[in-house]
Amino acid sequence: MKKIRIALVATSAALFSASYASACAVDGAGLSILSAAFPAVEALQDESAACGAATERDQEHKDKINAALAANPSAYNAVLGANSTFTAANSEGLVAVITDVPGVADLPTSMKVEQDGEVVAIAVGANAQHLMVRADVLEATGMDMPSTYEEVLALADAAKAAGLMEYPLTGTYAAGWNLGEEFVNMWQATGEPMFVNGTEANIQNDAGIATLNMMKELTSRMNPDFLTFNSDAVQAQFEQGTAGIANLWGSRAQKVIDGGAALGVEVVMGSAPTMGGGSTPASTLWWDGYFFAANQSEEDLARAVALAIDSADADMLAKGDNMSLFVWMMDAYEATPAAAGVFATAGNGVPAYPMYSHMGKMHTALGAELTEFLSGQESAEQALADVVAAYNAALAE
Amino acid sequence: MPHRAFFAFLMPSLLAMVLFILLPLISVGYQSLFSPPRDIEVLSEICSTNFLTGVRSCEQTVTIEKVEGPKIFRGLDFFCGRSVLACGELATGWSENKGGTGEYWSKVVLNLPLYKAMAFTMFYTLITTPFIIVLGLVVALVVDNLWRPLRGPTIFASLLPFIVTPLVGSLVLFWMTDNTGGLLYALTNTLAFWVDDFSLRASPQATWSVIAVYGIWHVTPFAFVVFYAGLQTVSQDQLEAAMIDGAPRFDRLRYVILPHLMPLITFVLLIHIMDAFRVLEPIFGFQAAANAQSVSYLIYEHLVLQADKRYGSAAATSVLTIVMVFILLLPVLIRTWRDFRVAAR
Repeated sequence: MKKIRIALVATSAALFSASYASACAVDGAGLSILSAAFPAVEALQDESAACGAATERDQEHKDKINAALAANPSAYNAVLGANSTFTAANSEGLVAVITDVPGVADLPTSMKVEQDGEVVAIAVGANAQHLMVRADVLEATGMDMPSTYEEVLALADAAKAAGLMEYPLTGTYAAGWNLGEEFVNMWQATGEPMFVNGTEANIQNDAGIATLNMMKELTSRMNPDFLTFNSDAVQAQFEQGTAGIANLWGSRAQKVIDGGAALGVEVVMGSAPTMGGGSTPASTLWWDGYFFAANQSEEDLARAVALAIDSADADMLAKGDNMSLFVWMMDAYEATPAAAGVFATAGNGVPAYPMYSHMGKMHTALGAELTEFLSGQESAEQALADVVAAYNAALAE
Repeated sequence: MPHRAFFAFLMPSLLAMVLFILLPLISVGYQSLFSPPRDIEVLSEICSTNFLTGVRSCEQTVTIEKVEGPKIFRGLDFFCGRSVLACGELATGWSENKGGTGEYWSKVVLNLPLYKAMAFTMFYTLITTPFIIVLGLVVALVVDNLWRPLRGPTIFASLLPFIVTPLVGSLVLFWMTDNTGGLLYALTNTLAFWVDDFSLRASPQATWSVIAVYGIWHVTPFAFVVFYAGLQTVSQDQLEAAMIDGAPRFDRLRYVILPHLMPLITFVLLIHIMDAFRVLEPIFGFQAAANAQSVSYLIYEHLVLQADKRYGSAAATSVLTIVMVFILLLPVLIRTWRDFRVAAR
């Protein structure tokens, strides 16, 4: 692995440093950045690689961030992660404070993530799950774009009755992380706090039951295999035309639009719905962005920050179709049609995904313990009790 | 070979086994009993700004200050925790008047992660093992009796399921169970025509069965190739003698071939039981975590899916896995030891 990395550094240095050196305000030689591997972050990584930095792109990057940053000096200078991975690294004290690093003060406010008044991360893009509905589903049923989950249920029933598809509704309900995220999203619509007195779980109540019941209502209208559906599967169902309604990630919107176009249908993007008469969309706002290893020299930190800011600039946005890959937070960003859903959801005041250090434990417990309720083997009360028991066990360890 | 010479030959591999197997095992055992001192939790406030509305939202978060110091003895804390043996939950359920009833098993015991995982793991191990031995034997006998020029290609084709990476193999089968056009789905729904449209992914029963079918498909070639090699060493003299004595085909199989293959059957049993008990890849390939979790999957969950690693629970579960594998292997081991003593005499 190390050899491969050295080889990558060597190639990228040889390929790019000569030809692109003039375009680089920052020399990235000797710096390394870890990231996921979806198109938007790869566009940023390409920019950094062109300036001589080593870039590692790995969809399973979250599993190695903490171990890599705990080394001294850290195995990477920067991580291009998201609020979840940031929280996990930050709670272990592995993230550097960058308030006084040159260039940070000039960033737009929405790009600065702060802890106790100090800047600790640079957000570059926003993501949220939001409603995507095929236009022909709306036309055939004569219904408007739903704004509440109750309307989503009615639309799904009408679409089925109209004979459009057997299971018009779908969603990312795969057991594990996806399922946990669906609960966290739906919970936001209740407006209740998920924790009280610091870390005490607050889900064994009416709001918890209402959340679960709505999830059950939705899944009972989905293909019975819903507990295996991750984002890839949901996107594939749109592309195959076997489903036409879903609350899916904004970062998938362009693909879903393209998939619809291939079938000759338009896909409408809208805000995540509300539930039970509330006004908060049942979704969470995520940011993707850079955070930096605490275990590195001040010079390296300054260079890594400068390189990150230089990579996420207007030049990057102007290249190819980079503008449409993400909902970027840079001032130079101009929204594309694929971004409409994230914009609508953010405009409706969707809360940020909770950045508590104990949130990860709750998320894991939800993803593991809700499956029996959704497959009809357990009551909602029992499922919530199991979640809290699993969460408390993780907390005690 | 005298025992001394035997041990001298064995020494290098014994050393490697101590280094790479015994020491890690001891380390896992140690980690299941001790934990680092508890970190100090510090409250702080973290803020981000909604890029569109400009609304700043802040929340309380906990950061951790590492405490250096000797490890703390936790006794059976990790073993008795809810994620492992769940002593407390079992006792509470028992005292709440569910003791001994079927409800106790279904609502209390099988609602706990380790017991749920244990049930699936035992099912997988016990169901796949006999099928693999019998099918492996059948395939080996068939191939052995094939017309010679056909044997090579047949052996190659029969080995393929074992050569395919488990994750890829299970993914292929997973796609075949897709209910919008998968081959296996269509086939089972045609065969079971009296049932109205059943999914191969939605219920524990279906998921368990599909994974067991995958396991049998994947490991049968291993048994086949071992048995096939054994068949090449069956004494032709004995077989001819049996034929002269007028033994029919089945008797020759039962009294000459099977006894000759017995040590190999034991070998395949040992290897497969150990392998089957740590089944992991198909859970990912089949996206099966909702309906089937294995003991190894639980260890993975503690170590990888959790934001901060749960080394204690993972180590305790690992120790229990070793104990369970040992218990499952005990009958085979006792038998091997007996045979060894008889042979040594």
